[in-house]
Amino acid sequence: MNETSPKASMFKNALHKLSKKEKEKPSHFLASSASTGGFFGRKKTATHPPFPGSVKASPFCNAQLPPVWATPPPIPKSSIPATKSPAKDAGPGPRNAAGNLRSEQFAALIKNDKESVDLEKLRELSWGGVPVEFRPLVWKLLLSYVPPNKDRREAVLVRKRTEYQDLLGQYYYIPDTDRGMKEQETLHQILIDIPRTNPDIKLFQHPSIQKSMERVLYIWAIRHPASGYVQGINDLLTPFITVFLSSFVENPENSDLAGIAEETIKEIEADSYWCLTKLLDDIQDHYTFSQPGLQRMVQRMEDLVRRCDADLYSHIVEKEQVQFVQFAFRWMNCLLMRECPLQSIIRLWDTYLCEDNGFENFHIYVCAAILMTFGDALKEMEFQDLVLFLQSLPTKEWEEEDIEPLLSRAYILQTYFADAPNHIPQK
Amino acid sequence: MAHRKKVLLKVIILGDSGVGKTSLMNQYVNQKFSNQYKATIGADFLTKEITIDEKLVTMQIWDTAGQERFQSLGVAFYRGADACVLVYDITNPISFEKLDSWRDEFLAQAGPRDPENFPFIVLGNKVDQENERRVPTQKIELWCKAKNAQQPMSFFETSAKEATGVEEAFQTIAKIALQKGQDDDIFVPAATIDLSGAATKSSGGCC
Repeated sequence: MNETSPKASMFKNALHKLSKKEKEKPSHFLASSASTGGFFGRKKTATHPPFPGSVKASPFCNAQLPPVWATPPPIPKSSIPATKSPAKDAGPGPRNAAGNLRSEQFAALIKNDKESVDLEKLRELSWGGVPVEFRPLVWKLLLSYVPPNKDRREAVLVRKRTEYQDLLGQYYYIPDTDRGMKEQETLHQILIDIPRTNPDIKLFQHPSIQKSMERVLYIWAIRHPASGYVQGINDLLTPFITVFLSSFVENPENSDLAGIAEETIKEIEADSYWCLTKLLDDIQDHYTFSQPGLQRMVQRMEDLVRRCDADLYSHIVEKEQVQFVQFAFRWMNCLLMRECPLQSIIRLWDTYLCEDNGFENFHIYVCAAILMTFGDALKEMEFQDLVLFLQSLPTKEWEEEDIEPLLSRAYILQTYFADAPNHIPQK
Repeated sequence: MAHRKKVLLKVIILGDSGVGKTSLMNQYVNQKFSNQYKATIGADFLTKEITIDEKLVTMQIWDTAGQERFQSLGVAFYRGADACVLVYDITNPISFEKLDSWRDEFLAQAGPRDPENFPFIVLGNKVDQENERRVPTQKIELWCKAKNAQQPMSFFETSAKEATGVEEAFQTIAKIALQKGQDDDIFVPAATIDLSGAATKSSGGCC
């Protein structure tokens, strides 16, 4: 029973805490969009199940599904005057519902004297967000880049970092004349894209970070000729660099790398390379010729929206003749990195890393949840406004706190629909 | 002029990665230039309302991704296009050589009724970097003539950075596309409907 599983109850707790938290907290993005008619109107909440954990038992399972995902659990933030919340002024602080307690839980799981980290437990705990100080290690563990066994970890890191240096010697640090046509084209494309990767974030304008990214992307492309470098993969590298750098500086995004040893940057580069490789291993056909994986994801998202909110689907596709691929392609190709700020993406990835092939499966539910979040507003729009809106979502302003309710809606969707393969074609 | 017909023009911008497609579109629509545009994934969309020959025209501009891997997406964006802007970078000869394949690919995927006379325009961007020019103007002139000897494609040398030639180029393509649309309408009588209201028998349904 879903309700009794540890993840579900943890999730329930988190949601409960969140809803309390949100009552106190205004949201600038909602405040700004309130004038457009309230995307999060409460008119449907009468049919709202009290907890997502109880969805399996809800009477809506077999009947016409209520658009629970179209409205977030908490009271609409737009109804709260837009004053700056004290919680936000207090700085980063505890990231998750249970605050410090979560940090202690992570500490207990990772730093105790046990030989090995229980990955299953780590996944359960991390689903709700990983505290900043644990994230670098937790991500490496969840991606199986480092082994759960504590004693072997350091040796593995040393070996993988050396291996990466060897790859650089073999493929990167060679005369340009030794590169074939294809390699030169790859390098050319990467060099075009590096300066325009997160151009608004100081860290990614730093020459040594740009050099690191160039090497990582180049080596990855050379070692994965079936896809090679595809635009958007550069975006996917940035969360790793940011997270791994956070072990050394407080605010990596604004760091000028002062006081950080060259050797450290090299290690971050190598770790980022291997973690990016792990991430892309699961979704390689997203980037191979004609990108079948992405086409499949867009299709699945479309099917999901059709089932959940038939009116929204027919408005977009039939009435206004907008194809899902026209807006959702980028959501898939860049895993929403173009739609949300980096910090929110990092929080999103905590959860993706805990889900089974989260960067493909769970991501579809997240994308559908985003679309349906704005369903009421979208249904009022004609072609031109619809495309403009979907191309430039209000999610650009979302912060980590805005990601939590999104994840809960995606989770509800998954709970409803993941076991309905007839309706939503699986891979 | 109470019943001025609203005209929509769907314009597609194509060309190699980094030639300045996004910059051209933003310069034209928003009169802004930035060095900070991220690589376009799939396609971006902007609109602009202009007046041509007393007609109010809405241009719906799709700025597409330059990397070849995304070309399989073309059909989703190209279909129904009224005009196509081909862009190369005057400092990058490869981007010029690729014009042929961009044009062919567009015609193949968009499948316009009259491919021979489909409204294209060519922009050689980045003339602000004149001292790094590697594609002489003569070359593009010849290319345009080679594509259609009777009615050579129009070309402009532009700078999205300094707003050189951008307005003129888009005005021109809008005019050509509009003209083409009108020619087609004459060609296909079913599409010529009197909207002035004078001859309306009934305000019946659309079927």
